[in-house]
Amino acid sequence: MLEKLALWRRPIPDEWRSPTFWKDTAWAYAYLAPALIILGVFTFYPFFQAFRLSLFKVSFTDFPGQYIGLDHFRFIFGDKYFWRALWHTLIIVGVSVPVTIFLALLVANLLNKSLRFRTFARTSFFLSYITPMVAVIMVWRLMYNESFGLLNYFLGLLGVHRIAWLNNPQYALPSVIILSVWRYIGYQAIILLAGMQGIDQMYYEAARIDGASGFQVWRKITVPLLTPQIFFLLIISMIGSFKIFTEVYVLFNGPGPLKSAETLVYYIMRQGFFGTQHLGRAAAASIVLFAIIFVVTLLQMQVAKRRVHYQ
Amino acid sequence: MLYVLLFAGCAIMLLPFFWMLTTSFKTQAEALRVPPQWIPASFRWQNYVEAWNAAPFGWYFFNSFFMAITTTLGEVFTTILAAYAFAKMKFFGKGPVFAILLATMMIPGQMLLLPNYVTIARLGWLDRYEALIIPWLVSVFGIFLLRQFFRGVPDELLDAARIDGCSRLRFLFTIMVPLSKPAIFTVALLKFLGSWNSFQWVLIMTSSPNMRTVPVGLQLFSSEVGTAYERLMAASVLAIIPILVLFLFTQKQFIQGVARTGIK
Amino acid sequence: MNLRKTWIALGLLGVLLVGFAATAAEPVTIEFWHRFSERHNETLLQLSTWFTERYPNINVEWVYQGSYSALQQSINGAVVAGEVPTMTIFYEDWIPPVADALLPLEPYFSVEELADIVPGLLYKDLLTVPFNKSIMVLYYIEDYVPVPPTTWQEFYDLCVATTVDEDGDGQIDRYGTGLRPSANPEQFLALLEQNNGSILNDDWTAVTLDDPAGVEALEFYASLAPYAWITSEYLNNNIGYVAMAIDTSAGFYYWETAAEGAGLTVKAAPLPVGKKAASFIQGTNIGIFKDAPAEEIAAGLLFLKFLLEADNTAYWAMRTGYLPVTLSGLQSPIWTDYVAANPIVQASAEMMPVGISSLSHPNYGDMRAALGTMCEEILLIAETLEDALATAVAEIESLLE
Repeated sequence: MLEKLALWRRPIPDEWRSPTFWKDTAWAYAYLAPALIILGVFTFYPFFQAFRLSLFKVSFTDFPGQYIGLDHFRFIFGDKYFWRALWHTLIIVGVSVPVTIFLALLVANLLNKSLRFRTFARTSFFLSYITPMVAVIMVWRLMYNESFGLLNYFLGLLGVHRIAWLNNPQYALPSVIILSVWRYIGYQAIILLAGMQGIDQMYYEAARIDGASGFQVWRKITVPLLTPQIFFLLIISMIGSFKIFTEVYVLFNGPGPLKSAETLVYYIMRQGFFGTQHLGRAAAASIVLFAIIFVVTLLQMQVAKRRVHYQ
Repeated sequence: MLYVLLFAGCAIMLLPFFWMLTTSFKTQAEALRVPPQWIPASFRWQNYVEAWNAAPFGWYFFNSFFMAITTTLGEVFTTILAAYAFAKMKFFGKGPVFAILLATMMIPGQMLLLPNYVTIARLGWLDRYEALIIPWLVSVFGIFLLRQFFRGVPDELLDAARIDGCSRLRFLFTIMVPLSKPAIFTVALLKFLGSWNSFQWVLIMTSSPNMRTVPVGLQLFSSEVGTAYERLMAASVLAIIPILVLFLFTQKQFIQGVARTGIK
Repeated sequence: MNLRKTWIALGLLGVLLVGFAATAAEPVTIEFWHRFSERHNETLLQLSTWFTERYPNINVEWVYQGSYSALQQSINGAVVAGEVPTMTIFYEDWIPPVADALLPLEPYFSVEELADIVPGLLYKDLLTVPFNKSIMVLYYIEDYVPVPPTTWQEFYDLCVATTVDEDGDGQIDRYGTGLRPSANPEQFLALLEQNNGSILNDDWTAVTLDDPAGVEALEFYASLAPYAWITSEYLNNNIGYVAMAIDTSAGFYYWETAAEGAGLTVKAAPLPVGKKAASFIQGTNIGIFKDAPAEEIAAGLLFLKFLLEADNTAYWAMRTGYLPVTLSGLQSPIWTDYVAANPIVQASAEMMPVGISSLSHPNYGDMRAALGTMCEEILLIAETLEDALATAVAEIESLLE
């Protein structure tokens, strides 16, 4: 063993020589044991198992199954529903992420001013985030109802024709997006608000002395100094939007009319759990999901290095 | 002018809740009325009774509470231990192990759902409490958060205590934990909320009515042919109340905790 | 020949009973898996209580298995693990994968008993007998449709007439009917059957959906589009939004409650008649597992026959909204009195003799989904019939094993 270490040409760290170090190591792993065991069984093992399942033909009566290479991947890449699910997911991400952040910025700005009813307003915006999603979606189902729903009522007041939100394939995704924006706007506003309140007042003082207008202050100081929070929100809301499932499942009690609201995760669930179970295909699709999220996160980190301004 | 905007914003955000509440008291005719009936003519409490009796909500609520409380307590326990190890101990492999843990935060849960289902099926835990609780006793995010906090506690305190003969474990629970109450409370709160709202996992891992939790039970209730809308709203209101109550009592910590997650 | 069969059947049953009596004093417990909701639990218990009164040795243990899919999973798992209950309920298409594990029931039934079962509910190998069944009927809101249609042309005309824009704002306030293509393709299947069409040929080797009969049925279905609310929601929850609806008889209780709540009157009529009268029956059957212990099988058979007795199937139907599954059950006074008191059930009872069930093909679930997609494409995005049919036929063909 010492020869191996020598091959690496690393000097043995001093701390490794002391027996207390190793005693502490034993203790540390004892402390870590519960966490590591559970993570091992329910995070690490399934992570690798997902790869294995995607390469084998498995069923509950036939475990561990036979190796079939990339057949599952070939299937999903040839399945028009897979590509549609991916496309739907990209639309959701592409629309709801920027819209939510933009609106949240406006809201945070509003909440930042010392107005009366501030706490009440803050709570009103936050409520949509903390209430159980399933319960909230139920009332949205009602509001989206084409005959007696509130949305069509308000649209009618504006002279707009009734829309079949939940039954028309063209409006299925918009229904999900509107719901998603409404749900996360408060959460994002709170984070941006915290960021705003952390901005050193001296910047604003200097700007005021220089006679900068409100809009200029906003553009040159507030937004750039909020980039850490904005960046954080971009990452988590993108990743979150890629994983949307419950909203669709509960809103439509299915993947939407003609599967027009099927997202990538819904596709995975459908292959793996609804109807005839195709465990391998679901696993393959979930690996595609992981790959996408992984790449997106890496890309964003690269962008962050250049664009994020810390104080 | 700003007040107008603020008021309009709040109105939009609160409208669904208002609608949910008022519809839960309506008769069927009122619920389906066009144009909408804003305030029901009378308050039909029976909707709540009928909804409660139409599905095993008693079980749903019990299971939700049981799952949320046990996972919260369990997670707090494992997180305190693990965060302490990372914050205050030097040991072999500390760096790599921590890095690996952080990396797991990038793994989407949906990727693990299917393999975990297979594991749980083979363990014989399907449709049992073990499936709902045990996998959720750890949160890497919680470990990360608490570790930050623990690191803020000066090492001198620990050294002084050790000299006085206090064991590490005792130090942890008698000194560090009380010092870190806000952080621990945040971790617990977020866990409780996440556990209560858990849907996909519970949907897959349970099949009998007595094992379902509130979100899944509510969804099932909504897909039954006999569930009229006003009763569905009553059930939804019931589903929201526990979290609403929790929020009212812990507003500050809640919002602070959430805000803290965004600060890098 | 018939007489001989009767004797053989009685003989077999007799042998079992003797064997059973020999081990008599021992109480036997039948394990019966189901997924009926709380509402029906009371009725199940009442039936098993009466049964135990007649056969004090036999106990029926009702085991709730959760949702339909959970029950199916449990059944498949039990067969694989070799730990089967005595009996369970089945959907027809669940049977093929576990067919070998089921006890063929024909030897235990006399010819008369078999002839008594509603014809549309008998299966090829009689591995199961029907238990809870419902049939598609035509619900109509009397306030908008005083006289129900008896032909499809009348139905179509009524749809056109009752699709109205009451307040003249350019938006339809009520539709003639409601179509639920993905949730309820059985609406289309009833039309198909009435037109003498079918999905597959008799020996399941070819797809006959796109034969002229099928195309005709689909054309009519498509012609309803402008006058129908196309949705996946339950029509009874949106009462008043559609004037007529082709829906399952099992929902009549909900239709009545909804109508009452909205101040309307809803009634049910038999489906309009096409080239022949027919409707679609849905529901489950009961099967007994071969590998259960002999005493349990004997007891299970006794219970099965008990459930099929005229008065008992009538009682079950009366309490649950399902229908009696035997012709004598349909004539039992328990049932006829009930129908007299609840006219809305009359329609379903009338149509039972001409009902057909879904195919017991192992891939029927996926075939049904393909049909649903086809209907959706035609109704929602105005896909041409040829294209939609072609996609569905190709999909179903790939499912023929």
